[in-house]
Amino acid sequence: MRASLSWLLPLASVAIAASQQIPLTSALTGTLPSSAFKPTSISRTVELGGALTKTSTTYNLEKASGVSGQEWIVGVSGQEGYIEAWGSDGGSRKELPLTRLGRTGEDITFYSITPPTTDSPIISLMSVLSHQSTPVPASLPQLAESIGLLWTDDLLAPVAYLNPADRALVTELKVRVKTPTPKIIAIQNPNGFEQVYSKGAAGVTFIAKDLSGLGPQLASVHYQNPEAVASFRTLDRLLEVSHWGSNLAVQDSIDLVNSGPKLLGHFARIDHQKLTMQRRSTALSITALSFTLPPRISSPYYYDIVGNVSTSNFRASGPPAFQLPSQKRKAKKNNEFSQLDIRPRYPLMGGWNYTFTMGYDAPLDDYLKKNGDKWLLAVPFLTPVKDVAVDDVSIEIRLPEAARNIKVHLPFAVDSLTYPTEAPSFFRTTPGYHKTFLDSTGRPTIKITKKNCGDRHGSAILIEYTTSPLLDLFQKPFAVAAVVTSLFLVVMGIRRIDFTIGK
Amino acid sequence: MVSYAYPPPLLHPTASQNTSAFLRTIILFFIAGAAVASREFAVVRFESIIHEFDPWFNFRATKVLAKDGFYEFWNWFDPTAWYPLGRVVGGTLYPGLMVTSGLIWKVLQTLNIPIDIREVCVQLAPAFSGLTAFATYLFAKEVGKEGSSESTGLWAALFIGIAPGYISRSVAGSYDNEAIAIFILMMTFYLWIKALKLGSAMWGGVTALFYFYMVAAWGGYAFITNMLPLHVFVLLLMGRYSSRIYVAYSSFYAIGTLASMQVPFVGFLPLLTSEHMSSLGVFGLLQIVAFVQLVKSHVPPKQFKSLFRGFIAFGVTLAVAGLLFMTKSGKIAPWTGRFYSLWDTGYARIHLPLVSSVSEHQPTAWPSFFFDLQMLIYLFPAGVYMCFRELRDEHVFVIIYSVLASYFAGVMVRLMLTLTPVVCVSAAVAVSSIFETYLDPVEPTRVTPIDTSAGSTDLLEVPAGSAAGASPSKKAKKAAAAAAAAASSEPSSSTAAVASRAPGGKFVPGIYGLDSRMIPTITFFFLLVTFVLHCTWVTSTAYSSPSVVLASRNADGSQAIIDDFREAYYWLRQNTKEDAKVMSWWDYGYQIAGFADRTTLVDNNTWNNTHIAMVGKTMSVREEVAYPILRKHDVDYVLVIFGGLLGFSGDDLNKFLWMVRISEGIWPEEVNEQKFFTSRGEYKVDGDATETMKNSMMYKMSYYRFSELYGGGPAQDRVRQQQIPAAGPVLDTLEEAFTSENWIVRIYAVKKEDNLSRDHRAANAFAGGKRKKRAKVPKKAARRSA
Repeated sequence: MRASLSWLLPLASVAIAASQQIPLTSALTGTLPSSAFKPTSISRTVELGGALTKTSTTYNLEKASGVSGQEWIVGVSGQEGYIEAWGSDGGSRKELPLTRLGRTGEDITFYSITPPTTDSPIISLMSVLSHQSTPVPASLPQLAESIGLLWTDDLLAPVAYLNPADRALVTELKVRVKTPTPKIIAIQNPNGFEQVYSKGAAGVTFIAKDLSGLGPQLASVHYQNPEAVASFRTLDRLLEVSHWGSNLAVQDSIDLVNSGPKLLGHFARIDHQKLTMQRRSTALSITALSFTLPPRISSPYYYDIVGNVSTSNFRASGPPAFQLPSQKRKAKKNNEFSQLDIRPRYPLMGGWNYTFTMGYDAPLDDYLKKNGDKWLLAVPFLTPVKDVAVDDVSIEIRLPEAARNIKVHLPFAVDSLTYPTEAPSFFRTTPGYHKTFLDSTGRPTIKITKKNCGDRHGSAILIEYTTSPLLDLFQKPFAVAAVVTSLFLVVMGIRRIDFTIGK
Repeated sequence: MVSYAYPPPLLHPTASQNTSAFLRTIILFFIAGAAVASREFAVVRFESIIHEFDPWFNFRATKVLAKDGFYEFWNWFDPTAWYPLGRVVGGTLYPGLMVTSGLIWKVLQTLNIPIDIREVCVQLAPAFSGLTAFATYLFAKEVGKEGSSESTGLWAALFIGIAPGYISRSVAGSYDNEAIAIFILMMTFYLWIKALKLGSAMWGGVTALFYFYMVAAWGGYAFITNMLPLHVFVLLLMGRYSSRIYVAYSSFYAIGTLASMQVPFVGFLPLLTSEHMSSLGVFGLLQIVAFVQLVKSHVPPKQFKSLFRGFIAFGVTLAVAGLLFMTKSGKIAPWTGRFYSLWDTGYARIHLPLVSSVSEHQPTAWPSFFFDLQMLIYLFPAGVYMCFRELRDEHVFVIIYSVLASYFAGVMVRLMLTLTPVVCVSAAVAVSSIFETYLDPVEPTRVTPIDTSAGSTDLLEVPAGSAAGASPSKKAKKAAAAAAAAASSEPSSSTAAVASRAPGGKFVPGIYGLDSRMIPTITFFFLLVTFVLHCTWVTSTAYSSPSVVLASRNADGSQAIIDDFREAYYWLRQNTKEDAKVMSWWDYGYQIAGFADRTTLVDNNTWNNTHIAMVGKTMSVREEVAYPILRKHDVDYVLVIFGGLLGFSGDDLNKFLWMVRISEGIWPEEVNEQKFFTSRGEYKVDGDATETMKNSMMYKMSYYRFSELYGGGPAQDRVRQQQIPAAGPVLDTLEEAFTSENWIVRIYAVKKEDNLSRDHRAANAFAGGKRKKRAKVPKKAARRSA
């Protein structure tokens, strides 16, 4: 693999390792294997934000008696967002492969993890969930100072999957809730937990020593968010691979919505202009959005249904226009990311939405390598935008017309995955093939959908396929030549036939 | 020996013919390329976008056609236009344009060339102007002089390719009926000339098919409907009746009329309206003339004369009486108002304020003739004059066409479009004959004074072309001299011609030497270069703005795009209810439907004057009068265009008087134009504005909270250059819902009825914390009662 592919490599290797085990977000089938480990104490940190909430739960485990095997079976309750497991065998912490077992009716997703040591291992589960906080009050006038979000959750969520006997084994459950700013409006503490909060701190900690016999422990934190809450309702991604053009075309159609408190009353431009002058306009409205795009991309575009949007800014990666001698030594390999800053046509007040499309061309060499007669393509699942939740992602990857024997390796579980397995027919449109620019048989298309994504879903999808060189190089020229030749032949025929009636 | 001013290229006749045919093809392609390229300014400067107002409707209709198929399009009833009336779109439009671009799109899709329907629509006009250049080439080739007809064709193609008069309606993005109509017009005329020349029913039939295409594409088809019969009529008056005319016109009329009736919007109009009567009349007349000719060939002349007189008298009486009866009884619709305004320019101003409020229906200002046609406008009469000199049937056609089109172009700005082709053809006739005369290398031969009478009778029979050949006979020499003399006798050349007198010989006027050839050639070459420069400049500065996107310059010279229209329309599309009703002046109806996809009350299809007047009334009356009207029409949002902040002069306050005038036509007792003028007759919006003006909805919506932008001081309106008072208008029944970045588009939401059934003013006062004023008894009255 070339050096230029390096920025995707770490993601890629994990993906290949994991993909065989977690194909789809399916329901649990059969019975769970019994876990070889049981938690003794659990400490969880919840980082609150706008649309995304990051939780990191550390389990101190001990070997369960009478269970053979090395696997720890853990259940994660609630929304199935992004999840990864970390652990250490005494040395450095490293990411652990996570096998998804399935999801139960009680909204608990079970995973199996093999801890690196058997001697009281410590495993951390890191997850990113979307829309865990709801705006309270639900609507605000344009001139409001700031927005408030309310986070409510059962503090017993980390042990929800345990049976009462195992739950009793847990000696301590600590939940630390971090807020983006120290401005906390209200905290509600369930009676089973002790609350540790000092005024002015950007967070609160709930601790429980004895979990036996506790009912649902609903805690809530009402806090101020410094910025408006942006999220994508839908993201339709289209990737087109062209061997001929050595180009990867990426296009994202996005439905951006301000999912903070709704705008109460109407929008007055004069007030918005005043707020902008006081630099207060971003508390309630989204006026700009910034995408970090891969290196070396070209011809970016940004438009919506009614045409081009001129308010955007693109900073391409690449060597600076000139370098001073003193800077020469520092010049690193050109792996910097490009940046696209876009401004919606109008400021997005609470509850407003804005659909747009943006895209770019990337050099295919950065994403594709040849391995014998096999091609290996690594494309990012989505373009992550910091603190933006993506509710519904659908991805369409169009491979070259000649691609066959497709295999897809996913970095995480998705809701659906389809790709054609049969060869296309020349005479009819084969399902799974899409006919576009000068195609004769159509391009094999991989379709993926996934709900509840966030800014951590930028890992690469790996796709393997083979092509026959003859088809790959000559199908298009042959198709065009055939059409043009037949046109010539028809004209030749017409010219040579006398259509006149009588003489 | 024939002497040459410069050595002509020596080529074998076949090689010469092949070379010129090859060059012609190449030149035509280049002309078509230039025609397309000069129309792309808007795409290069802005983007690939549909321009202006009407094209937005055409674009929307095309999308329906592409998405739902032809039959859905045919039966399309649009409930979102003219709310609450709706519009039967399929039956009230000319589908030619949409079907054309829909077909092109479909073909490309079938070939797996995925192109957006918008791209097809944007590029349709430039593509068809390339075809127009070709059609004009064919037409002008028929008109051109024998021997140089191809060069006349090429000049005409070049002129039509870049003449601003045509470019103004066919730049990329100007997706309007005219975009394809001029091509069809020229093609129909070419085919008509062809049919007339050959007397062929097939060509007549093809003419009729193109006429059908024209009827399907543009309301201006009436021009052809009247032009062709007029041509035939004039030819008859000139005594040029022939069976060729009979065959050509009869086949054209029969097939063309039947075909045109297939377009639903036209239907039975060809039989019922006065506009179409001339073609029917001429058809009838032609049958009579043909019959008379037939009778004449069978009956002795004397009897024929009396028979003919009686027949004519009877026929005319019958025709006139029939026409009168049909008109009176309402079978034939009298001429429409729009048609009257073609004859009486003051008619529309008085009787049809709606028609005359459209800027393109105004009479043409004379400088715009030069602006749109530059040097063609003074070559035009020369070309027409040259047509008179030869006066073949097709020249009669050009002459009629130029007279009619000149008149119409003077009456209405938009009809400059129909004038442009004939100007190009006439100018091409003039230019090609100038170049033909001065580039001809053959020198007039000095005639020796021997036996001048001998060959003089033969001279006429020797064609000029063959005389230039290498035959060294005496006769040929004389013939060459005569040909040169004939060529030099044109008025323009006579000044440059050098008369010479052979020593003791006869005076032969002609062009001698290289210098007298060079001077006019170079002069005209220079004029043509300036013509190209002018056309490019006009196209780039005047005709290449999409008008939905405005451009200005930043302080550093870079282009700044002002995109307020799309900002507001897109906001409407994204953040209002899908069935929201938006009221605006009719100019913006199509754009709101196209950009914002929302229901409008009135739009650019101005079919219902009363409905438009109602909107005008709502804009011009007081809030409390307007509110019930707004509620009755379910209006959710009112949209106004306000250019005061940026200096955008095409805003609603500048169009306001038309709204007042149009609504005054229906409700003279409620709206009065005079009340909007100050006592000194000025149109003021500042402190001196009349009470009626200040209380009108339009004024209030335009200036609502405008002065806050100036820190509460008096605000400056940059369009009207007036100071708006610091205490701005107060709105009770409307709320500001959205204002675009530069305040060009302002959208107001109509409040629902108050929950406590107060009027909105009282409710607002209560919400504002003001105490309700008690109804005071006037002191005087109180005392008196005591």
